[in-house]
Amino acid sequence: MRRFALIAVPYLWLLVLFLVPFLIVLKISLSDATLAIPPYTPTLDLSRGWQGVRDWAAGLDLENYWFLTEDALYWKAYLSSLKIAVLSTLLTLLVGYPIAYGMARAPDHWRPTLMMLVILPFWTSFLIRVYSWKAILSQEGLLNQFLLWLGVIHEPLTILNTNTAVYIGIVYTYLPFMVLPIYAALEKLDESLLEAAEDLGCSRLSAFWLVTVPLSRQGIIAGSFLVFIPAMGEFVIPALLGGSRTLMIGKVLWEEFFSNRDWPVASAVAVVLLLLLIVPIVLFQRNEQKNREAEG
Amino acid sequence: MEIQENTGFAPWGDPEAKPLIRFQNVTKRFGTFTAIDNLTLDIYAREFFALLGPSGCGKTTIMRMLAGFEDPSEGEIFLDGENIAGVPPNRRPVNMMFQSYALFPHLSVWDNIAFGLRRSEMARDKTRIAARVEEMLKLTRLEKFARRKPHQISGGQRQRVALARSLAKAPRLLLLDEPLGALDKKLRQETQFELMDIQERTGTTFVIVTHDQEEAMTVASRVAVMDHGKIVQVDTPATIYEAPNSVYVADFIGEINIFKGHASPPRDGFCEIAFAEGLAPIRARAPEEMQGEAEVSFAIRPEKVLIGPERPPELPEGRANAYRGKVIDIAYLGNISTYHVELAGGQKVKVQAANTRRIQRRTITWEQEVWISFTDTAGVVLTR
Ligand SMILES: Nc1ncnc2c1ncn2[C@@H]1O[C@H](COP(=O)(O)OP(=O)(O)OP(=O)(O)O)[C@@H](O)[C@H]1O
Ligand SMILES: [Mg+2]
Repeated sequence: MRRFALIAVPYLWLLVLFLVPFLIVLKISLSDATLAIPPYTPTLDLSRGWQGVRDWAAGLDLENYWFLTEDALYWKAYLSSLKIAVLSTLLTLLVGYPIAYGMARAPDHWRPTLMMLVILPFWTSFLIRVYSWKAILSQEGLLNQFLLWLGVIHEPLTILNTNTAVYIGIVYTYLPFMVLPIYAALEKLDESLLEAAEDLGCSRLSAFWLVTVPLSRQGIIAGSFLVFIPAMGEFVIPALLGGSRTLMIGKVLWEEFFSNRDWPVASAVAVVLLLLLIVPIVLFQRNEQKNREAEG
Repeated sequence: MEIQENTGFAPWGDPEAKPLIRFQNVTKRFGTFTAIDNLTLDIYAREFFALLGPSGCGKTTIMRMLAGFEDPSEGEIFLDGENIAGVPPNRRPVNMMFQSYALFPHLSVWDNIAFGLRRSEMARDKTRIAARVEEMLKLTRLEKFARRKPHQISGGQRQRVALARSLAKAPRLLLLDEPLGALDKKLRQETQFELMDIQERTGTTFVIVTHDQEEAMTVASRVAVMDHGKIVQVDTPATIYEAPNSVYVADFIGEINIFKGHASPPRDGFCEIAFAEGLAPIRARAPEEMQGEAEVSFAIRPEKVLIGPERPPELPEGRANAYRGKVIDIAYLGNISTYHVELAGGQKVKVQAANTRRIQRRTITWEQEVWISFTDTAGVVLTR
């Protein structure tokens, strides 16, 4: 009985906070848009009893999903999101790995401080932090002024409102998600393994490739998923830093929902996004599972 | 205990011989702590050199300096006459078996052993690597575990993987940091002989750290006994055992009885050591460096002491020492027994005797009055 209760709690949690909202969204995605409140039909009218349920079910169809395939905007947005998410995940890895490595190699008494510095940004509002990038990246922003002052450039660069700004924003925002799991993997790495590799004929660099990288693989995979999954559906960063030509599915979703007030199509977009993300999420879970097994 | 016979291999006695390794006044400090204190030591090619000493005395530190993971704070280390300061570990013809094994957890046993080979001049030749790995697997009896990962095998098997991995490249100098600690006695003895065999066949020079002095005695051509970063004595196992240069070494290697006393000035190479009120002094050969009278320790191995119910007949010219005592404990060890005998003055003496008779007919029992005796050359007089 106690075991049952223990298992029931997380399932109940999932049911209430994930499955129920998902079913609602799924249902809306199968409806049609109207000008009403709520802006879709049919709505379930239980006062008419069984007939009401049947009418409601008959009104549901896959029309919105067909619509997604007809208009090129949607699959282009999905593809573009995928590209931005993959690329920014790679960039985050490129920036995050050396940081994690440096942290893991730092003297013991430095590590808590470094850890704090990585987590510190979470203590201020995400919106404010993304907003402040506007001040850095704009034509008259800090970055351009600095580069002009250095004499590296003579004309201010256009970074804000381009995809570059979006990449910068994503890398900046999700960096801790990459750094922390890699750091956790590297911290456990036994120094003597590197010595053994060198002893057996490796240079420092090849010891890094042959020992350090494979042994931090789990951390790399975990960090990459933790960046990729939210980046795929990212809305705030492209909205604030991206330009009109930045195409991301999160932005499309937002526009469908609030500008067009087409809740059913917006819901269909959301459901497809979720289905697309299920693949990496499952892979991520597998990796975590393997991690635990390797440790246990 | 078996003592290895000198086989005529003794380059350390030859002033012409060039050492493979030379430590020249090497000191190693970690912060303010001195781990190795002004070490000067020569190790010759084809030697099987054992480092013996209590935990924390600096054995691993010596190994790590040879492998290239630590640089001496002072002094120089020469390999083949060349100063190896600054030569990185991967450029030294040295392989090390780590005390912690340091096996690569992401690689199988097979790949662990092949790791070094793949980074040698053999790298291109897959079949040669495979042959060498198989050979190593066979040697360490790991054939069945070749495909397993290190966390899927036992501690003893892991130790053998580490050994196989360090042997695989057939280095000029092989450093073994407690290579056999986790093996059971039988496998350990077999591996010891295997090591000696490898050493004989390949001519590799071995430096081995061990806590097991019996192991050091079995495999080593020379043994260095260390204490707090200093080497107290370097000699062949037989010399270390028979002629320790200090109480520390005598006490560290094997079992020994120590009599502290006051020695008379030596006459004809012998001195007399008064060690207890009312008992005859011990007559023993005086060490060469002893001049006048001195405070000394007389050390004698338990198996060099005779025990019997009667006073033994006098040896010619009174060369025997004989004392009366009482048996307070007997430890039966199968082939031998150890008798703990208390002398009149309270001094306790361990005596070892072979059990040539069946146990029922043993003539010495608890609480029995006995005589112990030893000749004047059976023990050593130690001045420090
Ligand atoms: N990196 C280091 N920093 C500080 N002190 C060290 C370091 N490495 C070793 N020491 C100290 O140097 C001394 C010698 O260490 P070493 O590892 O050589 O001992 P050991 O003789 O191999 O001992 P054991 O038999 O327990 O393996 C020890 O007191 C140890 O604490
Ligand atoms: Mg050690």
